[in-house]
Amino acid sequence: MRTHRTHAIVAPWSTAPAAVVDAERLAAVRIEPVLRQRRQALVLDLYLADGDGATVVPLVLADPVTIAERDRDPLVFPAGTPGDDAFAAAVAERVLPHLERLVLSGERIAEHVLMLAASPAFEAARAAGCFGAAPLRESLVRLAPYRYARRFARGRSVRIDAPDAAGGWAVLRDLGPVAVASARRDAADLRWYGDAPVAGDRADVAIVSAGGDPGDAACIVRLDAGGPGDAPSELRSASTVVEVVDPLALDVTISFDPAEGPTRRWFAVERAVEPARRTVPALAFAAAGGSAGRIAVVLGRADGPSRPSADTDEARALVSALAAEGFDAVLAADAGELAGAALVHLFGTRDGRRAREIAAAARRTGAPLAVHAHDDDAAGGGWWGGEVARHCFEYGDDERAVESYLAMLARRAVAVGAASADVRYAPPEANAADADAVLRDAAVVFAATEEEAESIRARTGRRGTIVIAAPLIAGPSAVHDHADRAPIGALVGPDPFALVHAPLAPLANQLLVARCAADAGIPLVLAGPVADASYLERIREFGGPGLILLPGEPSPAVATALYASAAVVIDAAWAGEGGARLAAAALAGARLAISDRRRFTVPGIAARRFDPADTGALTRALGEAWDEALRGPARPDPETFAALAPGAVVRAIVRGYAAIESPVA
Amino acid sequence: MRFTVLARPGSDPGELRAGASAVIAVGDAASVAAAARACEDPFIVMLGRGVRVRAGASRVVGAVTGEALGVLGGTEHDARTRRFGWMLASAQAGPLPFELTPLAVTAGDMSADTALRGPLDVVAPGMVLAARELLIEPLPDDDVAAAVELCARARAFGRTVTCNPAFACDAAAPDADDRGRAAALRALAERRPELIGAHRLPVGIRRTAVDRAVRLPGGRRERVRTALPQLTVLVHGCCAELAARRARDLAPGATARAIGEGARAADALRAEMRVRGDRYVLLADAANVPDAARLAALVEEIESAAFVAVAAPDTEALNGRCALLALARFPQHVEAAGTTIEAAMTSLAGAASAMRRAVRAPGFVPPAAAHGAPQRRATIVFAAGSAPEIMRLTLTAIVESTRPGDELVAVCAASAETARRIVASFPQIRLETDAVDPLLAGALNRVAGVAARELVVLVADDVLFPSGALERVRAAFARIPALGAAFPAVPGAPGGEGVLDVNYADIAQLRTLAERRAHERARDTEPLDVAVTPALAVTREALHAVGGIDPAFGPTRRGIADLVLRLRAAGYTVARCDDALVHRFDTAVSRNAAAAADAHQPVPAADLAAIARGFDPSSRVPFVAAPPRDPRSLAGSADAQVAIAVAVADAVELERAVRFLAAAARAFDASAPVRIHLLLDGDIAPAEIAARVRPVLAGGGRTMDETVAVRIERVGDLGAWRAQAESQGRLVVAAGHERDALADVRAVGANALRDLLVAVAR
Repeated sequence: MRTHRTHAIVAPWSTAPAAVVDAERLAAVRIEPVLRQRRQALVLDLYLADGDGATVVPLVLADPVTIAERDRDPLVFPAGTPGDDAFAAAVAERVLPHLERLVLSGERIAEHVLMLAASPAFEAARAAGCFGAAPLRESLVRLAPYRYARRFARGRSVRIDAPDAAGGWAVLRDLGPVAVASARRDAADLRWYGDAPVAGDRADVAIVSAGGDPGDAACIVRLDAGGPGDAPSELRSASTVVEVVDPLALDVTISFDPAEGPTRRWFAVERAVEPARRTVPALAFAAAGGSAGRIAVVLGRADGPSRPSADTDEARALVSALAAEGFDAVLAADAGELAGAALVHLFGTRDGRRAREIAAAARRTGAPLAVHAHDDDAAGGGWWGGEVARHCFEYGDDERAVESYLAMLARRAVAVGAASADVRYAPPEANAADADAVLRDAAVVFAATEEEAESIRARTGRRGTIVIAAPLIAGPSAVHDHADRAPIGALVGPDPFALVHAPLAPLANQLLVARCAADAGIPLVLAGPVADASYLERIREFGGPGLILLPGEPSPAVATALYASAAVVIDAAWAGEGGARLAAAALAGARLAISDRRRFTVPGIAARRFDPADTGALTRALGEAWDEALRGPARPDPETFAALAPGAVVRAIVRGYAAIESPVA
Repeated sequence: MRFTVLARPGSDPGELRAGASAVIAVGDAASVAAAARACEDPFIVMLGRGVRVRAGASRVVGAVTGEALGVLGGTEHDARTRRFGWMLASAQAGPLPFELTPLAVTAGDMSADTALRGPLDVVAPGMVLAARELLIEPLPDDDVAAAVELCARARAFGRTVTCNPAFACDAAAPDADDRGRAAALRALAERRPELIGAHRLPVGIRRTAVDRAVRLPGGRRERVRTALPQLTVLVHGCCAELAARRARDLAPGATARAIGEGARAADALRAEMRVRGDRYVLLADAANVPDAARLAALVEEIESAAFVAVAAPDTEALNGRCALLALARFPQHVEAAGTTIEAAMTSLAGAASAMRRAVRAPGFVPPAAAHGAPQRRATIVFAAGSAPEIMRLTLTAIVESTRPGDELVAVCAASAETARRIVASFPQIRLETDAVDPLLAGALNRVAGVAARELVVLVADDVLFPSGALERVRAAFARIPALGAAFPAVPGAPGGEGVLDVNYADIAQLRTLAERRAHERARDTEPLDVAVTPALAVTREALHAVGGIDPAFGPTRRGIADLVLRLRAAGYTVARCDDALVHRFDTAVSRNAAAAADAHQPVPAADLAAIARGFDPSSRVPFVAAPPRDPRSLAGSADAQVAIAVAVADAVELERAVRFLAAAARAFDASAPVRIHLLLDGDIAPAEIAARVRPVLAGGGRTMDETVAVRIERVGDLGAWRAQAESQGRLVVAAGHERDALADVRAVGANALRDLLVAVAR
């Protein structure tokens, strides 16, 4: 039986004492055309019923071409489907003739049901919009609030007194005791999803309708009373309003990101328990002052300002610090804004063309160029990993293929076009030679570690100064400035979590992290601006039910709170943007799990290292860091504080400036 | 022409500024609509964010005339690509009724510009010239959805949407953060039900190219642009000559001819289908020969999926009034049977449906396909040429793999007494012998040619079938349409049958792995274009269509690869069954003659060009060789016979002999009174010699029956052999292959071979 572990919404379930695994009992098959990985596909929901109850197998995937060509089994069942290979084959025998007729006809396929036997329960469930019987566009919107509520429900009692309560119970029941208010025990729903227990008066989490009484629940989710955009302003100010996007299955299933489509409904988290927060010591920065001169700081990523990452944080922190020192420091958008600068400071050279343009502009204005290298030697495996890793999830269409390709990835045996692990590889648009030239010729280069400096010298032939400077943490993600930490309980729930904070893009490798976290059963929060929407779709597809997505750069206050609450901060990037966020996380007491490609070494910080291509290693490192975090938070050493003290870092940078001949003093 | 520029942030109108009535900065969709309403010019140029107009754009705008223009787009350039826009392709199984097919080329490639100039479904949104009234209502916020809507509006207004590649701008690569685009397109599709995809390619390209779905190794399918297959137009009915002449313009290189009516027309169709290959045949009556647009629609249907075999505008047209056939999708044994065109087409459509090939004609209802058909019975042909202990093992496994109704035939050399005894211990096995060929090709073909069952399974005796493996191979034929041959996976094998992810230490472990694989990879197959496995199952009809194993190669790598190539060229699918795992014994253990011969042969590569050309029935390999011609009738008397002795003791001599034989094959054919005797007096096995020599003999294009006679024999006493040879005719020895026992026999060099016959004539 071919299986998949994607789009985890509700696993196959049975209302019968034993699962119905007789294909002759297949009573109804719901067929819906969808987009999967932006390709046409079919989703099937199977309903098997006998006298004692029914088994529902939702989200069976089928590739239309394979239905006709039959080079493999066209049906890919969700993990957890009861029965064996013979059952799968027998089901296929019953379903495929119909699917073949559809595909061979060439007619456009619309959502419909193939009724093989009288199925009143199915029809009632379909009319009620139940998952597995109704179109996904309908059923997913109904289940969305409950999916969101999973972050509050782990190990806690949940009382549901809201529409679609039985569906909510089905979504949440694997997490702890979930019960449904007696008034919400709709017969059709219960017959479909199963006999949900009757709720008492008290629960840790209450999911209630607009006028419902949540009692004294510590966490309250209140479902909407109106349509999209109806959330009253007073509610918005008093609680966290979450919008549910109109699904476009399967690439957009349950999403709370309004950028993904129009809003279909909303609900509010009225009350939420905050996750445990650590006290983060303040890092003081005392400017010496007395400096002068115009310094233009510019990001090596063109989208750095719009999609902030660690380099953005660090650049902004540097501008603030230099301004405090008396410099006229500005954050320039591009080479056109460098006029009048006495020194140009570039952060990152991964975009070689942009780095070259900035270097040329600096030369034209007569300003020396300082470069924060943020160099993970991307051509030495970083670009390769960023390009091929997602293919491991996209090339095959079942779990065996994914596992097989991931095993090959760990052996670095995956090649896509020119992207091969055997050779140095950078995509043409990276202009790697230009990047190396800029690193070679810059007046001063700042590296995070001696290893990074040595790599730059060896690769580029640089003979000039390379100053070792620790990551500068201040500015937007400044964890030491804890006064304005925002509440995040409504976003991430009350439990410990692992955090990745970076733009959502293949180079940051969140897809592998999400897969591994799902395997390990560790709640994962992915926060950061979306750089690649299709990559976000893959993350959602493979990330399992414990994944919490916070697309968009969190506000500084929320970011601060996330770092102070995260049990583990993971950086699995194939090539990163400096270590500012890792340093911030370490100072905030989070355990670190870091890709061994990342050049980040700070005294007193013992991070778990792993090969970003190896899901086994990643899962192990994540699990070990998680276990350590649950035993107790990391306590940064005094030497860590000393190394990361912004004053010391800024002084090192200014000394680097001083080492070059320039009007900056 | 008067126009206003609406410029988004960061854009630079460049040379358009001079000709514009005004340049107005705009932001979101609402501001664009507001600016359009306020504008008095009939046309508006919209510039996207960060777009810079390239030189030459103003000339294009200046040349715009006519009120019919709705939208004019151009090209967006970035460092990597040039983007023209999209076509709306039809989508059968998606939530949207269309699929955006991007039109882009790599930067610097101007080759497609001419073809892309003209009508386009959706222009690139970076820089667009549009009629003002099309912009008065706000467009969607998403750039791409806005472009789709704008172009749809233009068509709804009865205006044109065209692309002029000279209307160019520099624009950043599309942002990978396209969240919301699919939702915006769905909203658009819901609002505009008329927006249904039709073509993947713009008009200018359709005449020369198709977008075809191809299967990549592992199962993923991608669309690849490839040249339009050769088109042959067969026109029947009244005034067919004239219509055929007109039809020659339908596609570059198209051939068209009138084929008469009735039986003549049906015969002509059959004749045209004699060689299938990757080409189209358009069958139409003279009154219904489609124009280029209608032909393009049929091609679009054919190429919508790899399993579409026939397309017609409607069910009635399917009877031969107008139907496009993709010949490569009809296996060779499928004939257009019938005495009329209607009957022939009915038979083709029926055969296609029976094979689960799609017939695309609106209203066509395919006959119900038989499902769960009983799996096929097999004639299993077991080639026994290995060491007895191996043969006994593999034969036992094969016998255990048979099912009632199967026919089991063992083939061995006539002199292989041990093999005969082993076979005799299995009463259900019929024995056939090969008196001549150490590779057993003749006997194999003879048995395969008279196979009584639906499947013919050719198995070498150095291949061990674990329990169930043959059954799973057999089962593939019940599932996969047009499957011509299937074979099990062979760990570590060099050809398409080889799988690399299976390692085992012994046979017991292999059996365990095979069981696990049968479960994990149940019903997984990998369609292939080349394989060299000595264990394969072929349908009888496919085998009869393409013939047997070429005796020039025997059942060696080259022989099997040649058979697979013929099957593929004849339109059959050939697949490796990944759920069936077999073991092939090492040559050192099995001492199998064909396997030993393989060691000296490279693994042939897939010949895609030959597959595309199709299978020519004239190259069918007969199952039974033509009876040898009587040398006496050819050369008069035994005295006229010339025997050339070529003694071979080692590999060096073999290579020298090969060169000599090549010359001999050029100098003589089967009718010449010459016989070459390869005398093995060293360690080289006859099978190895045969495998090396046959391709050389066949290299001149003659079949094995037509080439010079060569006899391979192991000789212990050269003196005795000489005495016998000299008693039957004249004896010469190949230069460089002299032996003491052949002393004073005249030596002949490769260059002097023709002189031999002169001497005979004297």
